[in-house]
Amino acid sequence: MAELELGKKKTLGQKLGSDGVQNTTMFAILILLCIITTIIEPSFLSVSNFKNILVQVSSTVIIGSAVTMVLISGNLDLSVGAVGAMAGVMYGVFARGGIETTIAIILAVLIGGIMGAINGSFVALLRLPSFIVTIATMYVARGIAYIGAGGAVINTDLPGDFGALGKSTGVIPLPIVYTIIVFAIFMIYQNKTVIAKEVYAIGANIKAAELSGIRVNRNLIITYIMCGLASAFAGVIITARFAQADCKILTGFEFDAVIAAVLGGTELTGGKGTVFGILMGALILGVLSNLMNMLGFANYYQNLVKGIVLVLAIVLNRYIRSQLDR
Amino acid sequence: MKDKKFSMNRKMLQNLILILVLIALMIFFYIQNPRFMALVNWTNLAKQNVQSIFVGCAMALIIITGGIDLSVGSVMALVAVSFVYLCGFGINIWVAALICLGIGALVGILNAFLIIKMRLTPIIATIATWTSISGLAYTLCKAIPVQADEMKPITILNTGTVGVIPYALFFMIIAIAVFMFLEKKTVLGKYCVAIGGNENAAIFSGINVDRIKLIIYVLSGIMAAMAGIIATARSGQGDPTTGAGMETVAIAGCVLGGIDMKGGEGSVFGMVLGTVTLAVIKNGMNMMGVQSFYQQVATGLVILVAVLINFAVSKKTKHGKSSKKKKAAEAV
Amino acid sequence: MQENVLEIKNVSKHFAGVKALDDVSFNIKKGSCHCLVGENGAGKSTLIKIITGAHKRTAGTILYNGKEYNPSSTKDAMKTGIGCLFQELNVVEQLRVEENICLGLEETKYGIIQNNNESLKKVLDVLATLDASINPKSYVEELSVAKRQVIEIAKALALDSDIIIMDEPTAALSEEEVRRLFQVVADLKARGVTIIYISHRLDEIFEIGDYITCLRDGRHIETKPRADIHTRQELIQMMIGKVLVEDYIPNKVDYNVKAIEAIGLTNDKKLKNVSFDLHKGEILGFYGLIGAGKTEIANVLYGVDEYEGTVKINGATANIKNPTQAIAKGLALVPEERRTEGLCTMLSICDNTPMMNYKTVSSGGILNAKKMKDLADMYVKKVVVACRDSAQVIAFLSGGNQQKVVLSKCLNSNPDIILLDEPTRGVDVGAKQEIYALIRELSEQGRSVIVFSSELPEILNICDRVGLLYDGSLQEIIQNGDDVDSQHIMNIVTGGV
Repeated sequence: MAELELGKKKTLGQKLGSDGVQNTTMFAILILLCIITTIIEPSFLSVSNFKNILVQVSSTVIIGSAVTMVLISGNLDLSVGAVGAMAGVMYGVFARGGIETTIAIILAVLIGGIMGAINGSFVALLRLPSFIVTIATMYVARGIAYIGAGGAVINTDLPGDFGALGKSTGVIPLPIVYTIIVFAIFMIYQNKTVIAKEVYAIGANIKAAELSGIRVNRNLIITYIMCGLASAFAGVIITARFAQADCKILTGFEFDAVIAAVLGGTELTGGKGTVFGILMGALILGVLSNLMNMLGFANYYQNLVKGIVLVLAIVLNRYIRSQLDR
Repeated sequence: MKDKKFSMNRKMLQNLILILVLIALMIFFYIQNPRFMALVNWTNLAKQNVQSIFVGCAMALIIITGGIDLSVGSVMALVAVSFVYLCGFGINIWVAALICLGIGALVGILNAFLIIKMRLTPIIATIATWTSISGLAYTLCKAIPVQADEMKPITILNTGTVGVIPYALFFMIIAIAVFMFLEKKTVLGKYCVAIGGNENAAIFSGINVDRIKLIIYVLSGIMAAMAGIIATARSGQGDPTTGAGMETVAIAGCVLGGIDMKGGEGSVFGMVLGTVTLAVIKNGMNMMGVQSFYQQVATGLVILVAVLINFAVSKKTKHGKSSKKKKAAEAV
Repeated sequence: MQENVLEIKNVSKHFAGVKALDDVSFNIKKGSCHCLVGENGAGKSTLIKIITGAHKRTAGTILYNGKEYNPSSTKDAMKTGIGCLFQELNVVEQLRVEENICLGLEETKYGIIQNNNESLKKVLDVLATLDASINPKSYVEELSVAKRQVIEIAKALALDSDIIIMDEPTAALSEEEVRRLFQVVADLKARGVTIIYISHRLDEIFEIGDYITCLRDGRHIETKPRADIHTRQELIQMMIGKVLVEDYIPNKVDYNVKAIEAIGLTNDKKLKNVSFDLHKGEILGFYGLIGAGKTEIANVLYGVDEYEGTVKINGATANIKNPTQAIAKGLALVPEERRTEGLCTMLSICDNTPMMNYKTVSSGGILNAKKMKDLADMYVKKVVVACRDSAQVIAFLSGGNQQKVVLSKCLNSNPDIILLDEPTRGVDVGAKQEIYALIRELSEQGRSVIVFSSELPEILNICDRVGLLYDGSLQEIIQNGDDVDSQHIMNIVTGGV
C-alpha cells in the first residue's frame, strides 16, 4: 500500500481530483468545439448567436442543476418536464384569473415545490424506486398541465406584464440572467453547503450515511423539493418568454437533463458529479446543436449525434476516474 | 423463526387482486356507458394494444432481471420507416418484414454490448440507443412520413378478421403464449428471475448471465420491430414518430402487473394484466367522455397506487429480518 | 475401513506478509463428520476458502480421493464435488424450492425444461428425507433460514457432492432446528457424504463430531478422534493455548459515574435480558463468538434496532431511535463492516472524516474547504493513516488505514461514549497495535468505550471488564487482570456453565 507520502508533490491531476479533471476536460472540449465551429462558420462568434445558445440551454441548466443533485443522491427525477409545464400553465391560469403577476409566478413555482415534496416523500420515506415514482408524478403533472390549458394554449385575457419575466430583448435576455443566478446558487450550494456534502454521502453509501447520523430522509426530500422548484421556475420562464401558457412545453425534457448531466460527468449510480458539469454538458450540447444547424443538419440527425456523443462521454468519464481515483 | 404459513402465495395474490380490480373496472365502465362492452369497442381495443403487449412481453423479462430497455419506441420508429422504404424499393413484403426483425435484433445486440461489455447501467445505455436510433429514423425519412403503395398489403394485419375476431387478438394471444411458454417451460424465465433475485447465486449455479441478458435484449428489439410493423399496418405509412412514449406505457404496464423494478419479481401474465388494465382504464374513460388530460392524471395515480400496494404486500409476506436496515433508495 | 477423502499436506497461505496458514497437514476420512475448531483468526476460513476454490494456496498439496486437487474457481470445486453452506445463503428467494435445487442443473432439450421425473424425483426424495415439512412447491422467500439451509444441502446433494462444508450453520437456528440439522448430518453420513463442520459451539461438536481438528494462529495443532477427547477443557486448551495478558494496563476508571446503564435489553434480534453498566473512563469489552449478540447490543445502544428494556445515558433515560439521536447524545459507533457501513469508499478521506459532525468544518451550514482539509490532514497525522494525501479515495487504502479513517470520523464528533464493533477485523498487526493505543487514549481522555470483539487476546489486551456473551445472553462479566482465566472464558462463550 501507499507509504505515508504527505509531503510528496502532487501531479496536477491529483491536485484537481477526478471531478476537477473531468470538468477541465469538458471545458477544453467545449472550447475546442467553439474553435472548430468558428472555423467552419465565422458567424458563430457573434454576440447574438451566443445569446441564442444561452437562451436555448437555459432550461437545461436551470433544471439540470437541480437534477444533478438528485442524481448525486443516487436517484432520478423524471417528472421535471411535466412539472415545468404544469407550473407554466398554472402561471397562466392564475394570471388570467386576475392574480397579480408576481404572486402568480410565486404560486406557480411553489406548486412545483409541492410536487417535489411528494416525489421526495415517496422516495425517502417509503424507499420506493425513484424511476417509477417520478414517472407516475410525471403523468399526473402533465395531466394537470393539459387540464389547466384545456389541452392547448392559454394566450388570451392575460395581463400586460405576463411576459415581463421572460423579456428577451434588451442587452441581456432575462432568461440568461435567471440561468446565471440559478446556476450560481446551485454551484454555491453544491460546493459549500453541508447538506450538499451529505447528499454526496447518501449517494455514495446510504447505509454509512445513516450510521454517521446524516438525516437521509430530510436531505432527500429537500433535494427533490429543490428540483421541483427549479423545474417550475424554468417552466414559468418559458411561458413568459412566449407570453403564453403551453401545456406541451418541455415534453421529453427529463431525458435531456439526464443526458446533459451525464455528459458533464455525473454518474447515475450516485456519489459523483458536479453542478459545473451540467453547465459544460448543456453548453457542449448547445454548441453542438448550433454547429449542426449551421451545417444544415436536420434536427433529427442531431439526435443521432447526441446518442453517440453520450456514449463517448461516458467512456471518457470512466477513463478519467479510473486513472485518478487510485 | 417460524415459517410463514401462506395458503395462497404472494404472486397468486397479487394477480388475483389485479384481476378483481380489472373486473370491477369493467363493470364500472359498463355502467357508465353500455357501449363499453360493445364488440366494436373491444375489437378496437385489441387492435390498439397489440403493440404495447408485444413490447411488454420482452420488457417484462428485462425488468425481471433488474434491467430496463428505454429504446423500444425508437426501434419501432426505425422499423416503421425502414419497412416502408424497403417495400418501396420493391423488396417483397415478407422479406422486408424479416429484414426489419433483423434490424430490431441488431439494436438489441447493441444494447447488450453497451450493458455487458461497456458496463453501462441499462438506463443510460438504452437512453443512448434511444436517442441515436430515433435520430436515425428521422434522418432516414427527413422527418417526413414515408409512403409506398407496395406496403399496402401489410395493412391486412390490422384489418383482417376471422369472423368477428380481429387478427390483432390472435397476434396478442400468440405473443403472450410464446412468452409465457418461454417463461414457464424453458430455463429462460427461471434464469431471469434468478438473475434479478440473486445474481451471485445465479452465477454460482453456473448460469451464463451474460448470454441470458443478450437474449432478452435481442428479444426486446425483435418484439419492438414487430410492433413497428404492426404500427405501419395501422397507419399505412412509415412515420418516424411511431412508438413515441411506448417505453413508458410498457414499463407502466409491467409495474402495474406486479413486476418490481428491482428485479426478481413478476411474470409475463402480470404484465398482461397490467397492460390490459391500463388500456381498459384509458378506453373506459374515453367512453365516459373524460378528457384525455384527466386520463393522464388518473393513469399516474393508478401507477402510484399500484406501486404502493405491491410494496405493502411484499412487506407483509416476505420472511426474514424485519427491516430496520432498509434497502437503499434505488437508482434504477 | 475408512479411506481419506481429503488429504491436506503442508498447505500454507500467505497474504502480503501475513501467514494465514502455515504448513497445515491433516486428513479427513470419508463419511465422517470432521469438525474444525479454533478461534477467530486461527485460519479456519482461509482453509475452507482454499478447499472451495475461492483462494489459491501458496504452498502444499491437497489430494481429493487420492488425486491432486487444484480447483480453478468455486464453480470448479462445486463440479468436483465440494458443496458449501455459506453464511449468506445462495438461494433465489423468488423461486420455488425445487427450482432452486435444480438451478443450473435442469435437464433441457433446446432450452426447454424436461420434466425428467427420474432425477427430479430423486432429489425431491432426498429433500423429503432431510426435512419432510418442506413443500417443494413453496417459494423460498416464505421459508426460515433453517429451511433454506436444508435446501442448500439438498442442492449440494443434487450436485453429487462428496463433501459438504458447513460454516457456523447453527448461528441463526433455534434449538429445535439445530436438532433437525443434526439429523440431516447423520443422514448425510449414512449416504457416504463427508461433512466438514465449523463451529465454536463445543457442545454441538461433541455431539456430532467424529474427528476434531484444531487450528491456532494458522497452524495445525492437533487432529483427534472425538472419542479421544474427554472433556471440554481439553478441547479449549487445544484451541487457545496460552493467552498472554501482560500487555494489559488498567485504565483510569471512575467507578462512581455510570456512562451507560443498560437494563433488561431484549429484542427479537436475539438479545435476552441483557443488563450491564459502563463506567466513565472504562473500556468495557463484550466477548463472544459468531451469533453471540455483540453487534445486536451495539445496534440497540446506537438506535439502529428496536428493543425492550431501558438504556440510561449519564443517569437519564435515553430514548434513542436512530443514529442521529445517538450522536447527539454523545455516542459514536465504529461499525462492524467498514466498507459497507463505515465509509463511503468512493469518496476521499477528506470527505469522509467530517461526516459525523460537520460543525467542526462549517459555520451556519456553510462548509469551509480549508477547515475540511486541515481537519482531514490533522487526523491523518494523528492516527497515522498511510495514504498519498487526504484527498485519496478510501477504496485504495488498506483495511487498517480505512479503519483509522472511521475512527477519525468518530473522534470528530467528540463523543463521550464510543462503541467499536470488531475494531481490528481484517487489519494487519502493525495497525492493530496503533488502534489499541488510540482506544486506550480515548479512555485517558475521560471517554468511555465499549469494544465488541470475537478475538480474545484483543479483549484481554485493552478491556477493564469483559462481558461474556452466548446466544444473546450476557452470561457473566469478569474483571480483567493477571488472574483472568481464559479457559473459563472460552467455556462460557461456547455454551458451558
